[in-house]
Amino acid sequence: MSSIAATKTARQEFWDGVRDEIPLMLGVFPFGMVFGVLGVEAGLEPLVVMAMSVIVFGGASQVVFVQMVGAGASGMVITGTVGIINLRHALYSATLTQYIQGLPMRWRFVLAYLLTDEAFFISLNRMQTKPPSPYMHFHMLGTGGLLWVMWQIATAIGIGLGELIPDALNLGFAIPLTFMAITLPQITSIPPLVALLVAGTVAILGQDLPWNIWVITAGLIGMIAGYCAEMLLAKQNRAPNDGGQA
Amino acid sequence: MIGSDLIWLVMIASGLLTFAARFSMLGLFQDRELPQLLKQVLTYVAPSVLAAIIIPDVLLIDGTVMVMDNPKIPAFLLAMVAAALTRNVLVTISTGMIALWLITAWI
Repeated sequence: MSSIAATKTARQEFWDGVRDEIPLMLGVFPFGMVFGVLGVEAGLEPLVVMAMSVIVFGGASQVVFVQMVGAGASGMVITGTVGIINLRHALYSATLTQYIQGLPMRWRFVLAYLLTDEAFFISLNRMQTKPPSPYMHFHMLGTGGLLWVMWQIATAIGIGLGELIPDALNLGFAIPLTFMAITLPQITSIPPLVALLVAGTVAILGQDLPWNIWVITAGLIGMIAGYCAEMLLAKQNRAPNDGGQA
Repeated sequence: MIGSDLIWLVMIASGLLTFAARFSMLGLFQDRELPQLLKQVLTYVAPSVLAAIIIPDVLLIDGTVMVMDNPKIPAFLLAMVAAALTRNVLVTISTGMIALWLITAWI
């Protein structure tokens, strides 16, 4: 090893990703089990429930999918709703591509398939806070790979245990807790706080909108609000002698 | 209830739509820079999108906002304190879950 080997190897990036993702499993695993239980309770065959975790691979949307099946929704409505819930991943896609410029298409297919909330934000944290490296995509192969494997196992256990898992455990609560653990360190100034509060408010107000469109709407409006707050604060700081505009 | 053949079709269509969203910008911007404005707006993706999922999850019970008699709120606040103090995901999730179990057992 030469002394300039400050950049990690592909293998090291991959295992860093796996390691960084491990704590998240405390939230993801119960959630996968909850999905398995709900799938069977909705009257779906175990094979269908299992296949959904491979084909869709998106926790929140899978839960909504089986709930809608149970409620007797049509196929069109279910597909549309799942698509809209997962539209937020296009935002992750746009964020991720900035860090992997020039990476070939086959890698983009793999990373797109693995692009879930819990893997993306952990790898994004690595890409933003640690020195860039030509192997950063291996980090996401690690976070996404571990998440994929554990999601499948958790689904299978949920299907197998079914009603042995008591509702009173409220295992689904692990998900907002996991997301909060990811979000909180990001709230270091006013603009992200504004983004959070606005997005949360829109999400609550938009609950009655059709097709779960509130997820993407709240996300987009929150992002724009955060950006506007940033611009307003920058403007104030630039003109301190004007006595302010407002 | 959807028939057993149709369910596969619905599932595959849902999977394709999900993949399309995930692949979209990765495919379009392989070696081009994103527009500057989009880049700046995207820096708020975490607090916005995650808040849009977290806040309804915590505040709603069976689809209505519940502030009183909602054990998730105190449990979540305790977990936030744990998160702020420790910056540790395991501690945060455990605190929230155990708090929720204790509060629901108490009431």
